[in-house]
Amino acid sequence: MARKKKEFERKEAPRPNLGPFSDMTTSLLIMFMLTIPFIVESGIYVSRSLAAKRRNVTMPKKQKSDIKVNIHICPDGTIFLNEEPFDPNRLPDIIPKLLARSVKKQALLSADNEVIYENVIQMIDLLKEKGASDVLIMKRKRSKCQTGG
Amino acid sequence: MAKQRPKPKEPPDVGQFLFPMAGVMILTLATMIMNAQALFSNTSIKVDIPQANVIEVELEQSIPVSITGEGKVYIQDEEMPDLQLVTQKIKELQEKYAVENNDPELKGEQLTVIRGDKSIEWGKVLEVLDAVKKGGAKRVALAVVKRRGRG
Repeated sequence: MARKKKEFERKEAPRPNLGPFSDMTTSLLIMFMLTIPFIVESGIYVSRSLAAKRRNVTMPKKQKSDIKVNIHICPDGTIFLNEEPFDPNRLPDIIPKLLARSVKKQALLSADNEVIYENVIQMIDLLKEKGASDVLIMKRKRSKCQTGG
Repeated sequence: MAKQRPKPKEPPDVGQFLFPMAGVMILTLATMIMNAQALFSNTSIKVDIPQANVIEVELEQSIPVSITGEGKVYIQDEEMPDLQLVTQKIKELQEKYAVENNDPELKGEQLTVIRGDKSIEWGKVLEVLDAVKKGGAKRVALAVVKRRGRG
């Protein structure tokens, strides 16, 4: 009995193989590092236009004349560019041309309250991507969509 | 009586110390991956943030204002039932930021990030944006996550 016990004690403890563990940890770490840009939230700067800040103050004429891109989004997807209905598919081509004529490269953006937020973000994204330095968010008292679209 | 020769000392088993360490490492990493969003956005409120190609805001300490799909507004993790409370809270946080940095000119300079759910209406975002601006926030950004692939 005593002999058996001694034999049992002599047996070496199994050595864990750490190779797969370190492999898994490394691959997890790499995956984590690669996906960080898609997980971590970032942002797009926006400004409120001067006219929207104070009700009785209108935008200075000089600033207004420099803004060449004025976009309004309707809930049905209709886009108004500089007060005229415009084909949304042609926007990526026309925006850089219009912005090139502006000094500050600011763009004015308004949308009806019922427009889905994601659609507005897509428009801000498009404007910034095409070179707008600043997107001024404006609120219209009267929706253009009722009369025009 | 023959004297037994002392057994040669075995090298210490490094594996037995490394085994729990590797386990703890994996656990830590898994926890980090699961909470990455909360770690970087300073809030635990989950909203479906819209995607965008253009990213402008770098990682910095910001005030997160979350708007959930149900239209509830939170600042950090605190629910704001009224937009006036949003203005008040932003004012307090901006003042606190200036005091912490010992520079009164920094009041309003802390970045405020509006984390809107992509399914909400633009009108709700505008209301919150106005409330935030009334609170004296000079730097406001709309939260987005980087689009995967080209959209």
